[in-house]
Amino acid sequence: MARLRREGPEPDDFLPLPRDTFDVLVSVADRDRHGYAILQDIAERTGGRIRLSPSTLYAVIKRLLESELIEELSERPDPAHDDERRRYYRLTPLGRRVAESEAARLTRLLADARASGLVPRRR
Amino acid sequence: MPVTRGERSARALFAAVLHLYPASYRDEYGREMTLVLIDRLRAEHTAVARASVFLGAMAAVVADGPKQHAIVLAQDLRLALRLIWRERWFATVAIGTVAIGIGLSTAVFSVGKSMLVDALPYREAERATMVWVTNPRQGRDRDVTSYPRLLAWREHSQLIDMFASYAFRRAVVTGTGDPEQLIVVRATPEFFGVVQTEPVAGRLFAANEEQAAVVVLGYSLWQRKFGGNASAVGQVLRLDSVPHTIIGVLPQSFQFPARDLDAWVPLQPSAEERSSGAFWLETVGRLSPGVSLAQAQQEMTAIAARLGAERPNDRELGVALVGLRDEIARPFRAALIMLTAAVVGVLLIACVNVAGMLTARGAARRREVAIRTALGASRRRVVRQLLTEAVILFAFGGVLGVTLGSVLLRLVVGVAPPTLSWLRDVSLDGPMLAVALGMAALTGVLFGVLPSWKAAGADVVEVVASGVKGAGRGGLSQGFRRALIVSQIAIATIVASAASLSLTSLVHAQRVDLGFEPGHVLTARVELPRTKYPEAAARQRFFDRLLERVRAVPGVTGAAAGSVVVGRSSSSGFSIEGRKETIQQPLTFDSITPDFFRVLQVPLLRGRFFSDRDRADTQPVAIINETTAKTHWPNEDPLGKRFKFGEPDDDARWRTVVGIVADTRRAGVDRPVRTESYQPFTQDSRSMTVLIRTAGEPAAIAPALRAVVRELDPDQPLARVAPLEESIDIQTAARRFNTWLLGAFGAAAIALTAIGLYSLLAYLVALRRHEMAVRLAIGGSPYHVLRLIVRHVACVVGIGMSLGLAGALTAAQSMRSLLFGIEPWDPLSQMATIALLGAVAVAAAWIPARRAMRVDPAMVLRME
Repeated sequence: MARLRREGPEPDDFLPLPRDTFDVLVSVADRDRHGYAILQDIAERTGGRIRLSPSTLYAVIKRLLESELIEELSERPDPAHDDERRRYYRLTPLGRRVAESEAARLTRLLADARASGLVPRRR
Repeated sequence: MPVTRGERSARALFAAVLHLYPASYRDEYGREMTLVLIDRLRAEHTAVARASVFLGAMAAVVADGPKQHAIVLAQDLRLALRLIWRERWFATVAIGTVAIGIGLSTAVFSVGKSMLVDALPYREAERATMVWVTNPRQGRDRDVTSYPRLLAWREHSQLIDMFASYAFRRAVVTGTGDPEQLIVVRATPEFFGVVQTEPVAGRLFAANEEQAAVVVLGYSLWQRKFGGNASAVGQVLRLDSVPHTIIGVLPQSFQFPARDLDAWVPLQPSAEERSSGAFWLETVGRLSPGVSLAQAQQEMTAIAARLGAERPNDRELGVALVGLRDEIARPFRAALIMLTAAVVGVLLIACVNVAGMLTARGAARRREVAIRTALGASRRRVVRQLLTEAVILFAFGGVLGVTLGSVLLRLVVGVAPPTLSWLRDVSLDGPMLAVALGMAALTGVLFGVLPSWKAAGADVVEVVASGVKGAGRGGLSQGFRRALIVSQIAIATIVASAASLSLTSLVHAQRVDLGFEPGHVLTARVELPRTKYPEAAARQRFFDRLLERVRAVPGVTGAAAGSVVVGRSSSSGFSIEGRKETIQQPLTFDSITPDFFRVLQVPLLRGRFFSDRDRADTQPVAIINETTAKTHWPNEDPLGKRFKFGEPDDDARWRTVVGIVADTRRAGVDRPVRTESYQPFTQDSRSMTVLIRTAGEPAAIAPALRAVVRELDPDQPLARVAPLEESIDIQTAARRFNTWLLGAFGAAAIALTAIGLYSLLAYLVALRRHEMAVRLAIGGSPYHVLRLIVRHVACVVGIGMSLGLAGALTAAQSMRSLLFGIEPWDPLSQMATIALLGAVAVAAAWIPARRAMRVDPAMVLRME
């Protein structure tokens, strides 16, 4: 878990992110979503390879809330699908910076792998 | 979308599994998780896929639940440790209090239990019972029995399977290393059938072995003489020159009928012993299976009545059955009850202390708890946090308590008198430790968490608005705290008073006028084997020559011998010439050489000492002590009067009183003076203790004494060679031990009470700062504030001590047998207790009182 410093945490403090955590951050990066919407988004993006169980999802959400990388919304952003009981989550500015840092880190890793010929060329 | 039946079951099942999560987590996310699950189930089209999703979700909860618990626990622990660190003084005192309570109680209980319970390593020990004769006319409730009476019991009793009798004798072992004097038990062959044990080597007595010259070795003799070698079995041991075949060895734990015994031989009663009505046998019986002690007692009482009807002389004799466990614990019972009560007292004080402290703290934290609850923390979550704090405090206290207990136990064993040397093997008692820890933990939970539980349900606006002043109303009331401190002071008064009485008794016992001068005297026991020295003349010659040669040793200023110097003398009922009734109050009879009183420096009051002219063939004479003279010849001159032991028409010869000596405390420094008589060694030759008065250090003469004995008879051992002062010291050793323990408890009780009183007052002062500030601001004097506190302390301490003193007097009645030279209401001891506790109360109140007097009204009122 993130260590809180007096002057506030730096994005690098959170890296590297566990896979599930990164997936959830990516999911709420473009819009606010509720729990099931996050699951659906991850499943779609990974072609159904990753289907989080509810308990894994909420363990991640709890951790992200506590480290203030996401926040819970008080208003309902999607009146059409509104459900009184659903909770919606949104990326915080810190969360966005953390996700960006992780993405940059992964990009660097991929570039390194490519440079050493580990990644097959696209046909 | 309509909810299907399948969904409803899935929901119910999932809801059940969610209980694996911490409640707070479940409250927060449980519903969301269920919604997500239902959505996922609806997204699947086949039953198999749905089942797979559902089972996967269930399994994930099972795996994740414990993780979330661990996370919450880690958070709680971190927070708790931070809070404990913030209140380190509180924590130190609480932990210390718990540790003292647990450590002290466990250590002392362990010692007590090893004395009472663990001393019985015998098979089916609960069926073994002592069979004592009661003789109300002579005031004896535990007397030995005669051989014919033993046979009668065997013949008539249905409920007691087996009777075994035994007697002690001293014997000299020769031929195996240096000659040594042993304590040997002569026991009927049934002995090991009643007190059952497994020999470590060989076997025990067989049923028909009454006449055989066999011996069972005690463990320590086996180690001493044979180096613990099993080949000792079958070898020959010469006891008083008679060869005995070694048939077995007893385990180290076997300590019946006493500790430090050397060997057990079959009892072969002589023709005289068989027919004699003399009482000399201790008896132990084994109850038939399923028979209670009470049933057996009833039967034995009936048998005693029948025997009484047959023999009118035995009319008044009864039987008392005493379970083996009670019998062994008897000498320690009074002291142990006292100590156990003190232990419970200290443990209670410790718990009350911690309870009080936690209550005060809970009240002070009421605001915090109410705010946290209002901010959304669940009541359960808050309580869980407080519980974690309490558990940490008590875990530290527990660990420290166990450590303290082990250290104390070592200390106790260190100061234990030599008679309790077997305490070496005592270790901390597991069950007691569990009880002490449990009590402490329960206190922690009850008083650490309950008040906050209440606070968590309270109205936050009211609590916060009431400010610090309101803290006093939180949780448990001030009245309750005051009741706690009163009970604490009461218990401390009882414990301290017991310690004080014990100390006063010890001082009395050590200051008591012995009536003789024990300094510069060396004593040594010489048991002459009857087989080697059958004639009285030979025994007299031996001692005459021994004393004569010892007197010639440089540094020796006098030498004498007596059958008993300090300790228990033989005694018997006796008759005075011209009076019809036999006197049942026992008169001791000791055999002494003429210089006995001169060496001990006991003054002669009237008449004369014995001299060389008192011989076996001259008139039998006796010297009595002052108490005997005053008791039995109150209005006449005992000199020249004659008495004999037994009935007036017995064939014993009349003895003429020729001298009266001053009373001595030979029987024991803290025992009452007995009625005593002495006879010349020439007229009653027995085994003797040699007394040597020296100019210098008495122990320095020991080698010379040994050399003299070796010259006279190389096979003759000397036993218990020691300065007389040491023997006297041992008599008060048990008392010193008790006093030391009680003193430790008293100190602990007072210290804990001081802490409790201090924390109560500090808390009250903190609560009333506002009131005091207002008083000072409107012109009240600081002394007014002081008066307020003094009144409070006086009230609490006054009530506590009054209750305590009442309890102390009751307790003192039950410790009467432990007191010496004082009454239970001994004013000096009780005043000392009151003064000490009073002084401690003043000291404990001093700091809070000063703090209250120095309250700065401006600052306090600004803060409000």
